[in-house]
Amino acid sequence: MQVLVSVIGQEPEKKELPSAATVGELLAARGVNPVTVVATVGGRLVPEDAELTDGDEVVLYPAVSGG
Amino acid sequence: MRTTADPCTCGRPSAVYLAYGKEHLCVRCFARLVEKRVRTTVRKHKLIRHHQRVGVCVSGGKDSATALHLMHRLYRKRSDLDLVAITVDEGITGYREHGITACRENCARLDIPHHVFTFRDAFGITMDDIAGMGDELGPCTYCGVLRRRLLNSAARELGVDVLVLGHNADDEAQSVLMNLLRGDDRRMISMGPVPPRTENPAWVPRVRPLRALLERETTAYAVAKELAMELGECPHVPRAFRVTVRDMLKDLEHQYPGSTHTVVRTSDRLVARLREHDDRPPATACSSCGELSSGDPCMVCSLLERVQVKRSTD
Repeated sequence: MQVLVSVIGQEPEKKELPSAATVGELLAARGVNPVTVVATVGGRLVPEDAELTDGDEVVLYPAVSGG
Repeated sequence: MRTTADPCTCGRPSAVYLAYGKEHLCVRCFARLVEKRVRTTVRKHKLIRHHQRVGVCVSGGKDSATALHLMHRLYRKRSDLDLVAITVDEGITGYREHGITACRENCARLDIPHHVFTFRDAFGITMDDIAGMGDELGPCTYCGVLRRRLLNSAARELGVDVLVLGHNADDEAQSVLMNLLRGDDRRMISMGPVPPRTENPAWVPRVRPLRALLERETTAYAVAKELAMELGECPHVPRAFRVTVRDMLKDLEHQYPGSTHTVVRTSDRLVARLREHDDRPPATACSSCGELSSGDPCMVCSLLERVQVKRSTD
């Protein structure tokens, strides 16, 4: 399946994932520590174990200090 | 998306998973938990008292946006409290101006007066100027010292009784580990939930009501409440020691959930012990600027003098 992923404020990119992959698995595929982001799917906050479906739009909000 | 994640205990779909508590929460229950935790922190440590003017320090980031929203939400019905927002503009091109826009939007939404104080007006220099000097002290050393001074003088000017900072548990744990790694036990004394006692009215106490929330939780709250926020990183921050410690802690929290809270709780107990044996000399007035300081000249005057010397030799 394919999902659209973006870090807030940046251009989205397509990502191929196995069927029924979770948000946590998407983060792992991108090498992102789940503690460092908050994810929304279709504008809704979701936990790491939420399953994604084809065409989902995932937005990641960095949860790290700005300095 | 399928809602296959475990639901919240109330039955609604989960929005946030708290790994350290192995708990799924919906948006509503998560917001309630955040608000309860902040209210408990304030009450337990008496961070805000009756009849105070409360200055919330806002940068435009997620933490201070959350702090402002929570202070308004928890205390808007308290007629004896007066909220005001304060922003320090350090002069960081391409970064701070976006934060100030976010601050203005949040303050306007909550009808809270917003005041901006700049490094240029206060010290005649910007952080871009300082970073451009390439001083081995690093820009964060200057920024931290000058920002604390400006916040304190801004608070005095506005008649603020207590300054609310948006520091979360991650910030607190980072500071603890940095002090440990530097062997700086004296700086540890100034940590903890309640500022060290000072009877001098020149020093406005700074409190951290978000210190029981992980950075991820303040971010999730800001997203859930659709707060305006600047999520970019300061362009000068990659040189900071704090970033190394931050990344180490994030890895620890991922592998061993609860590590961040454990560091903060353990530090609180240590700080209480350290304060029993606090033999630091009382703060005195800097002979140059007259501000309270543990040294003479104070750090602000020392750093500004260093800037003058560097500029004259370049």
